[in-house]
Amino acid sequence: MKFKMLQIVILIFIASIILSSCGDDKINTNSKDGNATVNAVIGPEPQSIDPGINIDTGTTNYISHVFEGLTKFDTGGNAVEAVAKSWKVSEDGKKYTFVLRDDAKWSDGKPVTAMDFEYAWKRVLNPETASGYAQHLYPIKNAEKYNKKLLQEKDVGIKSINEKKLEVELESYCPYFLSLTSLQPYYPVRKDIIEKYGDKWTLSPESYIGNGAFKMTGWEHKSVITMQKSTTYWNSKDIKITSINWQLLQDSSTALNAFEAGELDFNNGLIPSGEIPSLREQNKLTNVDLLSSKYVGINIKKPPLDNIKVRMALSIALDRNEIVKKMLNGNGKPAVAFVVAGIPGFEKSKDFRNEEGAENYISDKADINQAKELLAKAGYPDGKGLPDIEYATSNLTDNVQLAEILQEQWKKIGVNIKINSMEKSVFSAYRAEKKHELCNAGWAGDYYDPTTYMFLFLTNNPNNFFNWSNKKFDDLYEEAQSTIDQKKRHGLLHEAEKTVIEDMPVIPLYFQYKSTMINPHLKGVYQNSLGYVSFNDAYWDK
Amino acid sequence: MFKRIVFSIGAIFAVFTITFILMHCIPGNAFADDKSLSPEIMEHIKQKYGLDQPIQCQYTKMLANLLRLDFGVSIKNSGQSINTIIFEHFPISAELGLVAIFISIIFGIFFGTAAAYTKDSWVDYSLLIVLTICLTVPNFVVAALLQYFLGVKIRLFPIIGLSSIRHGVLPVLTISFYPTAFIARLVRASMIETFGEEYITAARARGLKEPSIVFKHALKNSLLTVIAYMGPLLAGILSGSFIVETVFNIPGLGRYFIDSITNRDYPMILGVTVFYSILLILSNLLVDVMYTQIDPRIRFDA
Repeated sequence: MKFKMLQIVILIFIASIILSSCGDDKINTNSKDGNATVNAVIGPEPQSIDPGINIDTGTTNYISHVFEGLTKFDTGGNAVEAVAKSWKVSEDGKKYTFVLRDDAKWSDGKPVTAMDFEYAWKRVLNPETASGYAQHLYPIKNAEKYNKKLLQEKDVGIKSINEKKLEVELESYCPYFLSLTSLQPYYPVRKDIIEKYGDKWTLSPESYIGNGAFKMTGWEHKSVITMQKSTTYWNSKDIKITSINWQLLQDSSTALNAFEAGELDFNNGLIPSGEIPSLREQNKLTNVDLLSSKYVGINIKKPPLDNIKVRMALSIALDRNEIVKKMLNGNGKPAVAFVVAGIPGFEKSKDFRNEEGAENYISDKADINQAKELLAKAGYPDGKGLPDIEYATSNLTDNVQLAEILQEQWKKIGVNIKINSMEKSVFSAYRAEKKHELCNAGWAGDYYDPTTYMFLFLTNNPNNFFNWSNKKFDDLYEEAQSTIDQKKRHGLLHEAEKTVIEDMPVIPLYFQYKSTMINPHLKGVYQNSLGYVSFNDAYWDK
Repeated sequence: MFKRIVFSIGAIFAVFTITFILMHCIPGNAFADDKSLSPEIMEHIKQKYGLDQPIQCQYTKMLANLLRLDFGVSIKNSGQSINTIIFEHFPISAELGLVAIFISIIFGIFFGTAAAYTKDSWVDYSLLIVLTICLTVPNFVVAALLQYFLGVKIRLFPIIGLSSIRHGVLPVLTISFYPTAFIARLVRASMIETFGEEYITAARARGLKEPSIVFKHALKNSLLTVIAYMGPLLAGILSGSFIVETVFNIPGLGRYFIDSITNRDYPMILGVTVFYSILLILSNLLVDVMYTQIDPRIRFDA
């Protein structure tokens, strides 16, 4: 009797679990029925979606759907007309006059004016804004001095002539200026809104007023940002996606599961690295080359790394093919120099990496014998007498894996590496204070010009973790910055890069890419090598 | 009662001070990132959040904030006040937690009683095996397995977010896994002890019906052990599970707490820690009150 009761109760328990699942089915199926909603994941909750404040590449993608700059990137990575319908450049290349579209409007219906741009740019430069991307506006005349409190706001070379005309004076000739005006710190913002709402203006749909193809309709923190097509956007007739739900996800397994379960249509690379080979076999991944490279940073003030022969030996001893095979499942490119592939050359049809004057300085294979020879010349035959060298890294799985691969490869020439892995924010501070000997490092370019990489090596750059200061490099860089002839300018930059490689404050490893997942029915998703994603031209096939 | 209130306030003050000291001792800072900012910009940002001031000034400022019960503005959630974050996101964690506690108590008592009642039979043994497994499997494994099989494979429940009741099923199941098993073990052990007591034998001798013996006499006694466990359980579960909230992408306070520490978001760390300590003190108080209700021999005067 008592067993029977128990069995009945257990049966009810099981039945109730199954029945509880029979509610109305809310799993998103829009991908199949032609409804134009996109569920996408870029990453976790953004810190700020203020175009003047944000410095995170992923977060840029929320902002770039709500705002639009004077120019934008086309599929080839060239800057083309956006809010600006035309522009004139003075002969010396130092003055730009932009004419704005008459039909450019904010999402509350007000026209976009040159004053909005002037206000936004000067706001980014205002020291009180504390914008981390103020340096992107430094090519503008007196911008850097204003940002560093040496000059006043009125001295900055940005002037709205009238509602539709913006005049910009540059510090010196800047061939990539139109690439810069496509970037997020150059987006216009509204003075009246920011003065009214202060820091909170980005938090609610009523005050987060943009001029882009979409407008924000809600932000549930740590959960989802929702956007709807903006009817006031000048090109809204060509926007086919009606709404976007940006799921704010942190965990890569969850993102993959949600994609597999049909809850996501686009996954911007939030994939557990162990799953990548099998997903690739199933043809579920889209590879996007990134303007991003991985390298080992060397603190050249710390012995024995102050010896160029030791640094050279470390570089030559690496088998970059094997590193790429293990770290990127064979799909990345071994680094041949410092500046990554994918930046246009002085002739637009060519790449900076293979134009005239470019060299491949670094081999993808290891040369153990030559490395040992160099070590011996440095006074450490077979690594004898060489102390253990520290390799500092953050404790993210991929970074630790890289550290172990390097450790194993350097052991072959008798160099012992002590891996010092720490929490990410601890590591970042440790590296910024230059306490490391060797360190994990990487850089993602912000715009299409070699200087987006080369400026790292300037003596005073905050990302020069290498204690490296080279007058020849600084001079070459400066000369290139004021050279109008593109061929000559690139020649100077190639020479500057050669100076870096010859003195080796960094050991380039590989050029990175990302794997994204897109619902096969979702077409026309734009992704570029700066990490920008856009659904402006996307549509669902029937 | 007065003594207890004074002690509680002292405890909160101690938690506040120790947290303040500890968080400034751990290396790293809120603005260290992959891309280093120039010293000038770093200076502007520190000024903006008052981090350029001497540490004792920061302490007194924070203390003044605490007394006004206003924890200030988060550094890493730009423009958001910490009070708003707590009041918007704590209810999400708490709601899931309360449902999970309710389920754990019901099923924990049910399985515990069933096992005790059928002691040494196959039912008891198989329940014991299952309960031991539930106790030992960590909840990130439970979460991953539930998500994969019930979410991806048979698509019974949605995976991310909390926009409907069905979204809540997997996270609640995950959270209640461990406490259900724990309560069941507690109930089983104390029930078996109770069944050996003379008054149970006496009740049986008087011819009372079995359900009445089990639920009215034996169970009431075993509830005391469950309630003792409720204090820490309540505070632990209501505060939200970082793992469950991360895996199912639930915007609970648990994630804010852990993220604030990894981000070195100082005002946020302090705000949430103090809030949690208040929660713990309150839930222990609640348990003490419940004790006096169940067992009149216990008096509430400490």
